[in-house]
Amino acid sequence: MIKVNEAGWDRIVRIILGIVMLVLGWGGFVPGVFGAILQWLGFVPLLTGLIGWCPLYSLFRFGTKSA
Amino acid sequence: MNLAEFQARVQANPRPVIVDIWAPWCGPCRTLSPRLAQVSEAYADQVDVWQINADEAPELTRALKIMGIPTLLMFRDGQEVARRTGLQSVDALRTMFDALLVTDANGAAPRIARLSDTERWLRLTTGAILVGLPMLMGWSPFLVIVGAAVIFSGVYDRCPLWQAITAKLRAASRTA
Repeated sequence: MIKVNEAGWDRIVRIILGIVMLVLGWGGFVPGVFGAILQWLGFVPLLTGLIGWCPLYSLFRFGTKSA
Repeated sequence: MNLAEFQARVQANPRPVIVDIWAPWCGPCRTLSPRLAQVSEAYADQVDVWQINADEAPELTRALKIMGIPTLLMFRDGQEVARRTGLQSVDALRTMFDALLVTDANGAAPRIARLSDTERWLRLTTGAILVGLPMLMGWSPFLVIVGAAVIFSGVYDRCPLWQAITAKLRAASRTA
């Protein structure tokens, strides 16, 4: 079972960031390689925000969620 | 019986309880009842089964936020740990009874996965944006599929089909 390590505000920021990145990438607002990167990179904050768990936080034993 | 009386009764009960919310006119409820009786016999001294007729207790049904029947509410240590809506197979019912009797390393009842209202709202809103925007703007259908998956992740714990499939898989992994 994944232990949530993101606070509510952290998750919302990630989800909004992910949606913005996906919109910029998939909507064609950012052309070229950078746009293609945004198309896929946007899923990272979106997914980590939705599940509430960040692998990097876990790696460095860090978290925004208070115990 | 009102909600406070119901909660007091659940909390006073020494054993885990499965509450079957049903109605006489509901076909799946009539199919579920004998299955529930059959499975509950094997757990007679461990898990109690109560039945509530939704027609006779509309206030309590509303207060318990019952969205459809049949619904099975599972209580342990006075707390609701899971709920399942729709017809359940005998295997799925056995899984529910077993889950109520499992104890974790601290001797506490493990919570059966159920999304909180905030979690559900977060997933449904995100999914709706991911489905709606590409459809409105004519972008790639890939995002619509991702959005649909996110929406499903917001309701999977209430999906009878998903519950039936996962119960089958759990039963298969136990016998393997």
